[in-house]
Parts: sequence; structure tokens; C-alpha cells
Amino acid sequence: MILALTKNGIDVKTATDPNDFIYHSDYNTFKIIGNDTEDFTIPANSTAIYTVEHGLLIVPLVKAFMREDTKNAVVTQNNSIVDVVGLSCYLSLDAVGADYTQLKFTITNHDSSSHVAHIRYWLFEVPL
Amino acid sequence: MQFTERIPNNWENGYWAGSWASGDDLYSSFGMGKNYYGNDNYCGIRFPNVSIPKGSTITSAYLKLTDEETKSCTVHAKIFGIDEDNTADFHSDPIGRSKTSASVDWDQVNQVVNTERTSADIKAIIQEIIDRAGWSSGNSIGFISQDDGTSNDNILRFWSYYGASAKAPYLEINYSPPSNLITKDLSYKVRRSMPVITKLLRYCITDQELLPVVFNGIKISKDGHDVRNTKNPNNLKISSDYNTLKYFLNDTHQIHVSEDEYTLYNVTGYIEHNLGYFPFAEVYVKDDLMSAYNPLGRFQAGSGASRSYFFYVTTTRLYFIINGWTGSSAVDFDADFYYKIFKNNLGL
Repeated sequence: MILALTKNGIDVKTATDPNDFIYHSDYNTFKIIGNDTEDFTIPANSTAIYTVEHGLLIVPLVKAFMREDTKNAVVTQNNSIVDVVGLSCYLSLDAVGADYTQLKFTITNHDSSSHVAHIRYWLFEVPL
Repeated sequence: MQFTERIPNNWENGYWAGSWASGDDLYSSFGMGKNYYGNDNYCGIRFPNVSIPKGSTITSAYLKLTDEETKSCTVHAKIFGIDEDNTADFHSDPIGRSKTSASVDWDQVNQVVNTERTSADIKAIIQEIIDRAGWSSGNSIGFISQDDGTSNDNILRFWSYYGASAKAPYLEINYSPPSNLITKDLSYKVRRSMPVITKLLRYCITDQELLPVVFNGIKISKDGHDVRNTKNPNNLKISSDYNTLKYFLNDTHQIHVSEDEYTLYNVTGYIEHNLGYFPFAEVYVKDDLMSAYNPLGRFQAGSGASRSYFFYVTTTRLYFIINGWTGSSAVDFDADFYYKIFKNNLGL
């Protein structure tokens, strides 16, 4: 017994490709189990690891995005796009990690002035 | 939603004109105003079985009476509700019953037989009654008139139920039901129309007359897990307690790179998403040195050469960046970026 909902134009009774389904109860959904923002002030010419308690008692999958205080663009983790033509960021979100208790954001400020990093992180379930 | 009712028998209207008359003692009409001696000739009107759920918000309500005769007169009256949970009919004079604090003026001049008169909005009166602790849907609502400065010998007369049942007093109530009852109704429809999944769903039921409240939402558990008890998201295929990524679009975007020896280069491309906010995005890349799509990052390209792939998003575009050092072996190549954009707003 299943509960299935196909995309428009696809016959739910004959479809077999998971991509044809909007929802299918045979497949797990990738649930977002946490979602929040943090602001960190990064001192001039420094690299530091900033931590946040997640309180989940598991090691979650984490995806983080960062917007630098004066920039109208958002980068994701492991993207050191300083000096990219047309963007010229001062901050790089060098790494994002997690353990059983904390999220860890490694951020570098490549400028001689301090800057604020606005972080949005999403925590996903870890399917068993 | 709307509730309407015309009184269903002659005990639902009554009239004081020297003594109380209702039911078998009330003939074709009842009235309101002042008699020759200056006495308040008041009337009572009751509507039984008013099916308005407790907790509803009354948006408007009107009482409608139909003239029983044609004549010139001026009457100043107020209409009160009877401030009781389920007021009785008018076998007895209702003058001693408690009145609502809310009232509306009903000032009227002249009459033309068979003309229907509509009161001012009486929603405050209805709201006060259904907000009573003892109110239940299906109870009765009553009204009583009181003179408000009419000159002597001015009385309006209206058709009673006995005189013309189709022109008897009429009540119209427009209301919004409480949200918990809407939820109950939806749950009922789900149960009726989708019996195959009833074993998997816990209904959104907040009305105490049905099943106990469990939670508001839908959960489907994985095989071997009791959907009623599990709280671990990993044991649930779907749970409305958790958000999910909302797919927007995916495609590939190719960027060609022309290299010269011992050169640093930055190459940028973009696609438009025009969502108006920073969306959640994922990007992978495959170039001539890769056998599959890889997460973005820095890759060695031989002979001291390297290629770094990045992306960033604005409120309208998704940018792709290739940042490299050619070293001694310059080779032109194509980089294919595979991207997925979701509607989830990063809110940054």
C-alpha cells in the first residue's frame, strides 16, 4: 500500500521513475531538522572557528551560506571567492562541520578592517 | 457562513398591549411603540435552534419584520437580546428576563402593508449571547423591544406567525466559525475520502467530541515504526513537523576556458533565477579531467596547474566562477556546472 502523487501529466498508476513523483511514500523525504541564522564579527586579517550548539545529539548534515555585511551576494561553504572579479569579498567561509553537539564555521577575514558574517545554516536528517 | 430562520410557530412571538399575549392569544399582528396612555407596548421574538458554533465571530446580523398595515406614525425603540443561554418561548411575559448590554436603535416612521423592514446591524447582540459560557449551537436566541421616546399613541404593527407565517419575523446571521471546527471538518473529509490511508494518518482533531488531540499535521512512518509513537525524524517518511527543500529548477551551464601558459585567470558565467531573494542552491561541476560531477572546490590540473570552482547567488542570478593557474601546460577546456535551485529563502 502506497501513497503517491505524480507531476502534472504523469499517470500515477504506471509511473516508476522517482523523478516523476511529487511525493511517493516508498521514498524518504529529506527533512530539514534545524534552520537558523548567526552573525559573527570577524577581526581584521584573521581566521577563526566559530561554534554553535545544535542540541540534536546526532551528527547532522549541515549546509551553510554566508553573506558579508556590505555585499549583496551569498556564498556557500568551502567557497573562498575573495578577489573574484566583480565581487571582491573580504570574508571566506572556508569550512563548515558538525559533531554530536556543535556546528563549526571556519571563517577568514582577508581585510585590514573587521567585517560581519551573516550565516544561515540548515541541518538535515541523516537517513539510517 | 450564514444562518437564517423565520420563526416556526406562534409561541415565538409575543406582545404586551395591556397584558401579555402570545401563542393562541396572539392574533394577526404584534407591535412596538406607545399606546394612548403612554405605556410601552413591547414585543418579544424568539428564534429556536440557532446553529451557530460557540466561538464564532459574528460579522453581521439583521432582524426583519413585515408591516401588517398602512398608516402614519413615528416610533423610537431599542432592540435588546435576551441575555440567556437558551431562552424559553413566550408562554410567559419575558419582560423580567435579563437583557443584553448591547442594543440597537430601531427608529421607524410610517408603514406600508407587506413592506419588509430590516433592523440596523445587531451583530453585537448576537455576539454577546453566543459568547456566553453556556451557549451551545442549537440553542434559542430571543429579542425584546423597549420604547425609546415615542410619543403617545404611536404603534407599529407587524405580521405575526399566526397572521402570515411567510411574513413572520426573520433572522439573518453572517458569521465566521472558530478555526478548530474548520479543522475538524477537514479531518472528517480526509477520513471519508481517503480511507486507504487512515491507518497511517493521525487526524488534526481539536474538538473534544471526536478522538483525543494528538497533533496537528500528517505523518507517515517507515515500515516497522508506529506512527503514533515515534518522534525520531529518521523513522518517518514524511512529517509535517519538518520543512523540506522546495524544488524550483535544475539545469546545466557550460563555461569555456581558453588558457595561456603561466597565467592566472577568472572566468564567470551566470543564469537568471529572478526569485527576488537569496535562494538555497547546490552546484556541481565536471570538466575534461573529471569522470563525474563533483562538489565545487579546488582541483589539481597537472604540472603545477590548478582549477578552483565556486558559485554565489544574488537575488536574481546564480553565478559560476572558475579561478585557475595554468602552469606550463595550457589547455582549453569546457566546465559543465550542474545546478539545482530551491525556493527556500535563505533570508540573509
